[in-house]
Amino acid sequence: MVIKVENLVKRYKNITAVNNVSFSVEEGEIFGLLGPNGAGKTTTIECIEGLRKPDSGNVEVLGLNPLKDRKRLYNMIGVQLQETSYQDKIKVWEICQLFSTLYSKTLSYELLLKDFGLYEKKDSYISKLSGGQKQAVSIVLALIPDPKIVFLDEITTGLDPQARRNVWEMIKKLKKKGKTVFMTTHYMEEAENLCDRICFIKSGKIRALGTVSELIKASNLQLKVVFKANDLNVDELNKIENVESVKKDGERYIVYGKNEEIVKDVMNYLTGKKIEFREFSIVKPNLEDVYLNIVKEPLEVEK
Amino acid sequence: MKALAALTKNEFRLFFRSTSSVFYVLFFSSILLLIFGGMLGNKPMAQLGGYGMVDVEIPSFMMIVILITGVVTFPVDVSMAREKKILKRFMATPISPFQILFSQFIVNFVMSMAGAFLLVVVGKIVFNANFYGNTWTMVMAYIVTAISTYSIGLMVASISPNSKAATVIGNFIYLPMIFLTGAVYPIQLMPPVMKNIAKVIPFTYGVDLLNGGWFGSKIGDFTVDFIVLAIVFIVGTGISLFTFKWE
Repeated sequence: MVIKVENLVKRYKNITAVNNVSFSVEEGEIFGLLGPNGAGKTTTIECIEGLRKPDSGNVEVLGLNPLKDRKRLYNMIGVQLQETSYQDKIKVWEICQLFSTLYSKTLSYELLLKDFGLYEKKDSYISKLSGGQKQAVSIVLALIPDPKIVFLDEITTGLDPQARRNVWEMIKKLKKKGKTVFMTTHYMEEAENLCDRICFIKSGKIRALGTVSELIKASNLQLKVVFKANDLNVDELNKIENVESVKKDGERYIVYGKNEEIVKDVMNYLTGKKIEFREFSIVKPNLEDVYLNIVKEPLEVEK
Repeated sequence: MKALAALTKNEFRLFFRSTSSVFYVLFFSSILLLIFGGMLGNKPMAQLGGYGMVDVEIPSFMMIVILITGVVTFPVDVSMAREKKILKRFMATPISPFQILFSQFIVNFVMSMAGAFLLVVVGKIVFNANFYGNTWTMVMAYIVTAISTYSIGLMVASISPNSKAATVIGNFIYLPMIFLTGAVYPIQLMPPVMKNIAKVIPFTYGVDLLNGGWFGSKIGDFTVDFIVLAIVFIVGTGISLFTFKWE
């Protein structure tokens, strides 16, 4: 266990941003804190990073108290903050070199820049970089102390889809290097793609925690079979084994099932009756369905 | 120390990449001296106690450099670093974030001294100005005045929600001050009303101290200046301590 959070509470004036949150993060995993804007993600991650003082509760990172052992801790963790920008007129290599002087032991920033595709940009001003490249600089800066844990706070927010996917590859690279990654995001697809475990929070409270498949299983969401057909008896469809319910929307039929058997059963029924159908598809519940089920509120959708 | 040196080096680099900082801090007061000296010359004047206009303007214009760096560029640098969350980013490193503030202080202070030195050089070369004091006393007078003024700058940075506000507040202090304290136009030549206004402005005592250093007055003559500047320092730093926010 590299991060332990127990009964964390943080209030701002009369708002309780984080309300009695407890979880732990294992070494080497990508742990995702997921939730809508204002859910308390940033407050939680900043309490863990030692940038905010919790009102109550316990935070332990690599066995250290982030507030009391900040100097030792910051030599072992790498941090990317939401919305940090750098001075406009500073060059990539200059900020990297500056950060290299802040730690007791460091990795070569030149190698890191090469590793993250920024070496050709090392003489550019930060302000001239694209959004994705700026985030890559943030990752490189976080990696300079060769940290055990990397904290990423909404690192892909505001990036275009291609840049976002590039950042995902970088995060996967971190995991391959054996780092633990603690990240926040409000993109479902991102969490599903990257995170070993996901913690859903809303209004400062944990709503669900587990691996993607655990979360889907626990939410009891059903498999759907969707197809189009002209003439079909809904009552007969309902009687098929393993079918829970059927919805008809014009010529489109949505059949909800208890398990994967319904795919075979529905197909057998349709072919047996010689019913013509088209656009047959199987829809598995995904993280977004789980999320909607828990939070009852849509998340920001990737544009 | 390694970190502070690197931070300071970086701030110097950023200073020289900002055309407006270089102009206002290094050259502005010298250009002003060329204009004033060009208009009025440096002939001894009875109203100025027998000194020339340029002789009197040099130490006074040092106050302009101190005010530009102290209440404008220094607080704007600090609040810009806060606005861009640079201060916060450094808080998540092993160094103390105070080192960032300190490096910004050093750069503004050193560059203001360079601006003041250039002022003296221009005065000497172009107008054959006279320096009547002791170099080290002059330097001390400069340091005391600057540190006191910078504490007001830190206060500006503390009470400004962002760098725009810091720019406005800084200029709001700086612009009237350079006229009302005798930094641009000698107090000796002002009508009594203006003299009385100048008396209640703390920076006037900075101008007075700089003049004292330049004309070689005895340290004992400047007890009031020291006391006022010390009070300014205590108030400025005190308010900053209570109101400064890292983000």
